Amino acid sequence: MNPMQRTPAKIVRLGALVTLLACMAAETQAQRGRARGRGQPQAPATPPPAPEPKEPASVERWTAIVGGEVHVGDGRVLRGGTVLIGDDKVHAVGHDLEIPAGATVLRADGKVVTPGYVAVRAQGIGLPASVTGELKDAANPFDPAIKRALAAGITSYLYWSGSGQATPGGTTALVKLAWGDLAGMVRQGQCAYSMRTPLSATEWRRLRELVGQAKEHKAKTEAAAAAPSPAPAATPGRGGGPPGERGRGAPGQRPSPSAPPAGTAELLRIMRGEARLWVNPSATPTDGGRGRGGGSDDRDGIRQALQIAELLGVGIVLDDPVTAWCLADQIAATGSLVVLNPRNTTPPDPTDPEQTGANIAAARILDEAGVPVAVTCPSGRFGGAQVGTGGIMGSDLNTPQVDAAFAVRGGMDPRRALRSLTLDAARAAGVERIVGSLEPGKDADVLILDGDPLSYRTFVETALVNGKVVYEKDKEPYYQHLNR
Amino acid sequence: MMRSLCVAAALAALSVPSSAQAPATSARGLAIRNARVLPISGPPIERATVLVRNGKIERVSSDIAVPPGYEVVDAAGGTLMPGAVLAYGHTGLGAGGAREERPNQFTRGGGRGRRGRGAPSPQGGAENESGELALDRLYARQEVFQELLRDGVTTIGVAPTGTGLPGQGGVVRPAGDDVAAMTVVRSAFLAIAPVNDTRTKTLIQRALDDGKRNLDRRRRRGPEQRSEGGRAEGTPPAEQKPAEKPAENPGEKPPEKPAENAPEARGGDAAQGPRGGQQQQEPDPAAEAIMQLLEGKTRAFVQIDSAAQMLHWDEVSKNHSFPTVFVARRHASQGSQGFFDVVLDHIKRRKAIVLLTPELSTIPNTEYQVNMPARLHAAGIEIGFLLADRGRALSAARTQLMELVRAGLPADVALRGITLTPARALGIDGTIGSIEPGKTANLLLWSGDPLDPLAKLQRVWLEGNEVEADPR
Amino acid sequence: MRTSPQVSVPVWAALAAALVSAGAAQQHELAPTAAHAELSIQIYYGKRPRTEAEHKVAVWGPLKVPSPAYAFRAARVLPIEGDPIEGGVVLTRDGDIVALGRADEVPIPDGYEVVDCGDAWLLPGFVDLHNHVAGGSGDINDTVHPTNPEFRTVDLVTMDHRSLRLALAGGVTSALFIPGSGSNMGGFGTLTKLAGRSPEEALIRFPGSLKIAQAGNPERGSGDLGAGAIGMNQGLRFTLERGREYYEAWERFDRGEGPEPEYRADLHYLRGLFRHEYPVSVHTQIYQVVLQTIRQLRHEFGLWTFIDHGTFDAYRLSNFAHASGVPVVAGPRTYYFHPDHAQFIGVANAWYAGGQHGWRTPVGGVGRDGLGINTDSPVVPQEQLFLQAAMGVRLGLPDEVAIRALTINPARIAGIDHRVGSLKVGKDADLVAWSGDPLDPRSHVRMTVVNGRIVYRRNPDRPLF
Repeated sequence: MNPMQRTPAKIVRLGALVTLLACMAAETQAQRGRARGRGQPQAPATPPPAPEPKEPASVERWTAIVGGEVHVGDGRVLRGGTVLIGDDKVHAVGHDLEIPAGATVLRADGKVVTPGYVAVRAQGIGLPASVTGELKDAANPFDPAIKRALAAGITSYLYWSGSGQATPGGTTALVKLAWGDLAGMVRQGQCAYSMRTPLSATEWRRLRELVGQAKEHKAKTEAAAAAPSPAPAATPGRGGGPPGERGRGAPGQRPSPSAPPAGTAELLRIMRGEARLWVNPSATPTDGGRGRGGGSDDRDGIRQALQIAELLGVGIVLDDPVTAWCLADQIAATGSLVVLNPRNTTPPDPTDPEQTGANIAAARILDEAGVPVAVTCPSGRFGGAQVGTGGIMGSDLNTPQVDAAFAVRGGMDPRRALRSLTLDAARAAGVERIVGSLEPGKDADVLILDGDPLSYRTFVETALVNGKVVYEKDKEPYYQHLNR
Repeated sequence: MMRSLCVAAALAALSVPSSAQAPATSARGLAIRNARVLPISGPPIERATVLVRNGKIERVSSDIAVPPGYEVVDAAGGTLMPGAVLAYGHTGLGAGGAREERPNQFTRGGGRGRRGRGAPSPQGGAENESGELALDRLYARQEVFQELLRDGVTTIGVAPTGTGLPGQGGVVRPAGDDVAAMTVVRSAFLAIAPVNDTRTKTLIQRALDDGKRNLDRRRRRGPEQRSEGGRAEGTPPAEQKPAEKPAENPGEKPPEKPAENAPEARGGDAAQGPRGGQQQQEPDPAAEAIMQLLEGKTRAFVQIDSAAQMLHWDEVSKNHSFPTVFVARRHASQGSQGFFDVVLDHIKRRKAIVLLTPELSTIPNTEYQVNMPARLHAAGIEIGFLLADRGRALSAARTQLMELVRAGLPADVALRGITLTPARALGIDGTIGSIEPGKTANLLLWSGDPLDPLAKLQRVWLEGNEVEADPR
Repeated sequence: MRTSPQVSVPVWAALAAALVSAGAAQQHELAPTAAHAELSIQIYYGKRPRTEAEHKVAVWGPLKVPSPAYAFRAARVLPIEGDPIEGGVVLTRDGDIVALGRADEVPIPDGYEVVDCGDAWLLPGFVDLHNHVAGGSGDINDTVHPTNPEFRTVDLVTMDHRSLRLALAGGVTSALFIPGSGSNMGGFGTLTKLAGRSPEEALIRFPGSLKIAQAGNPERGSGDLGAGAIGMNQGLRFTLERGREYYEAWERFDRGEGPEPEYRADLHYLRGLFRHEYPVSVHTQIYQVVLQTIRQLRHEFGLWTFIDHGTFDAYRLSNFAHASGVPVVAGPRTYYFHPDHAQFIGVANAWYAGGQHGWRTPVGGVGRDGLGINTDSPVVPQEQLFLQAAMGVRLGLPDEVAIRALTINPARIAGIDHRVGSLKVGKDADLVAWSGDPLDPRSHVRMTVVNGRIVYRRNPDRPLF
């Protein structure tokens, strides 16, 4: 006799009801968490609004991607939708859009259309590891690595060179994989800075000092801007320039008419929302675990990073934390974000196993608390943030969707896992206004995939960057020979 | 026959090794008979006679009587072609050769796993040294010139070493006691060696922008004050010399404010105007050289090796137009920065000659080779070839050219690429690079077709004088 | 009663058999096609002892491990050697599978605890033939001499440490734990389960294999003998010949034709090697080196041999390996970036489908049964063995080949397929409940059973993997 048949039907019904109630409760809780997470405790200066799409009349070149399953990037999925691109920007996304005459039409029937992936850690793609002078003057738009990265679905990445230590530092830029287009490569300079915690007492004091000076300066300049100055143009004005101007390009700041105190330029940009601060909460290793930090307990480092967030009044980005999953609510409360490798298996400290060590469910826990999560690939000899040619597929940047898939393995909602490669990755890089989703006014970085974006079997068929087709699978040698 | 041998022997006995003294143009005539002549400027002429007198080619024809008193050389059916022109190198500079230039510092794959290799600071390259002349650094009595000459290289372009704006290059003959005796053209081109970094790009851009501004200013002053061009010998800028100012411009113009569009120079040489204000009389050779270029009185030899570098160059130079020759010394190894065939329009727009090493390139990450010279030629771009700047440069190039021809490059393009085209690039094609009446008698006699591997170089004439054969 | 499969064929017969292998291969089919039949390989086992009892050197682990009686029910059961069973049940007791089939066809006797795995997929535990982490300490290399036939990893095996727990959470239940490639001949590896109350209980067979590193890593000047390939190959030959002499002396003694040889601890296990009680597992990659492996170890010394990397361009030898009866366990590199034309060539698929010498149709290769997949843990963490297979599929390997390459193929390659590698009555109760397709990184392991004992259950709040 089959035991299944013996179970009374009413017990099944009761169980279903209980489950339903539990789900509803969990959903409410999660919603609350999300709401709490999205809010920021102190209102910082509002970053510039998202760019508006161009006037249709001024567009020279239209491209339309038609008929695919369009994942906009904010969670919406449009089956059979159209993505209309005007020059280098997304113009409109929707069903039954009118396509202007003369547009190049790319058919995506039976395919999946997504925003291009933003790699928050990548090396050796179009730029050398360190550059004297401006990044754009060292860019190589014909680097073969660009094609391999496009084949992996990466359309832009956060370039890092150097890093700060006890204060924010480092050279960064959002680099587009705009093959052959030198001008289109370095899209936005200095979109992020980095530093590390824990800080020593002296360092912490120093940081607080600097932040204090920065806040003073910020208040002064804002006050001056609010009260119009009668001084003539010859006298250096007191109004700070448009926030977006500052720091574009050269790491050395052009002195503004009212110069910020030494050492506060980066902090000011962070506080104004012009750049993200990444904090690496590396712990003192207690045992040789896996993972970048090396240690199993970086809660102190994380907490201090959150203190820095509160001090600055903006969310920060936790860079590869091990125990962020233990502090999800606190992280959410500061509006901070997390970049992590879901496969991190740093073991827990045996004396405190519940609150230490990595957790593959970290992405889920953080996401449910309302913390945006971006995923990265493992580091190490055969992995690493490169589109390698000698390594082990699945461990490097050749298959970014695998990293998001591991987040799903840990329980993350599959519909949200794609964001860890796109919009939330763009958030972590501080560039969510220009990339990361298919929304009007954003850069037209689009992928046409041959299947489920998170499937290990899916390949990029076509990739567009800045509105131009820069990769086609059947025209490049890499995966041309592989067909479904 | 005996007579010509005696004459030849006498001549040989009388002629001294060309390195010992300035070449004497032969007052007597020379007749090379029974040769297959490759004029380069026209189709081959079979069984021709070439008459040479006073160091120049007098006549070329398949049917001439040899005038009396001419030494006769029987080519025995061999092939006569113009001497090879080495358009760009550092022969004779520094101790025994060139100061090595920094290669383009972009390394593919940047810091992949290794310590990142940042941009090496170039030697020099921080300033506009356009006023320097390569020939001022040349040391005349060096083995390398003999070697090159014996191998068939009869004209040598010498470029200054360094990156950025290292100076002006000149043209020498590989024979002579001193630089003056060797000099053919003291300043033939302005060398530009861009590097993909901000400092060098800014230097060049600024120099060009300043040059344009200076030119505009000079033009506004009137034609009588415009300096006579010449070979960038640093004529004093007219506007700064009160003595030369015509009466209708009393006094000086107010000093121009630098703030407007000449921000503080970062490693670049400043414009003429603001520097030193109105009292300075000294010529600024560097700025003069740039102005010469912008006026079209000289040409720029720009070292570009890849498509990426071309795009960077475009950024720097897009507001200016001047005669341009692209020099690609390392193009075959720079595949990971893109080949020239993706930037053809950039080359065509400038009507530039491209001088490149005669090599096949390999597409990165593959074993596929491409014949870039053939591709450029097929696209309508005029190409010439770079020879090594020492040693048996022509012999080495010949082997490479054979491979290029086998891979699809037309043979006549190959030979023109080592003769007339580099001469055109240097601006000396009026006298050098082809076998035509009136041109300099730099001649090579081969036992067969020059691109036949079995053919040997039998005789070399430099300006009508036969060169002592290679002892080997 | 377990028996080893009876295979004893010289090479030429193997070649002939390969050509007409359709018949022999039928019993192992999942969904047989003519193409698959052509590709099937006859693994060369030498004159292998027919039963475990006939092994004179190798030690086998316990046949029965006391464990409760379970009835595992799941929506999908993949026995591997047979069609998938929708709505199946597997009965286990005392370490063995005692019954399996459709839930409505297989009765569950009294005393069996029902474990309802719901919508899970039940598969046999995976077998990884290139593992360096079962010792837990990372101490796997000794480079005292170029060849170390006296070294054994069985002394290092410990149970219940993190690497093994992670492995179980990744669905891997058996592994060949071998020395590293620091020296030419690193010692003898151990075939072990990755869970057990003691290493003895977990043991499958020791030696599992002789570890040889044909070239590459040992070329660091290990030992006295030359550091290049010539020196290393000579060292191997020298040591193996001494081993063969020792084995022959014992054979003569066993036949009553000679005196009892003096026991040599350093040659003892080589005797078992020449008795074909266990294979040589060779760290070998790149065309020339794998060629040397097949020629030297398989043909010259007549050993039961398998390739335990086979990466880079070695797949061009698939035809030769197939004809020689030498299977390959591919990894950890999952692709070869071909320098001639910049293609990402999937290593596993290239072996499976045959070398791509520019011919339009692939040449028959080592085939389905001759392909395994490994991690070389910790190079790839042991629990990510499934990902190696997934990447193989991404790069062209057919799905069912990938699943077999994780289960029955490595079991057969190592000669333990009478115990593990598929869900079959009489085999060990090593099974894993997956939340979905095991190759998909989005799936996870819910439960792992080794030797009939539930050794891992996933905690959704703090999942191990």
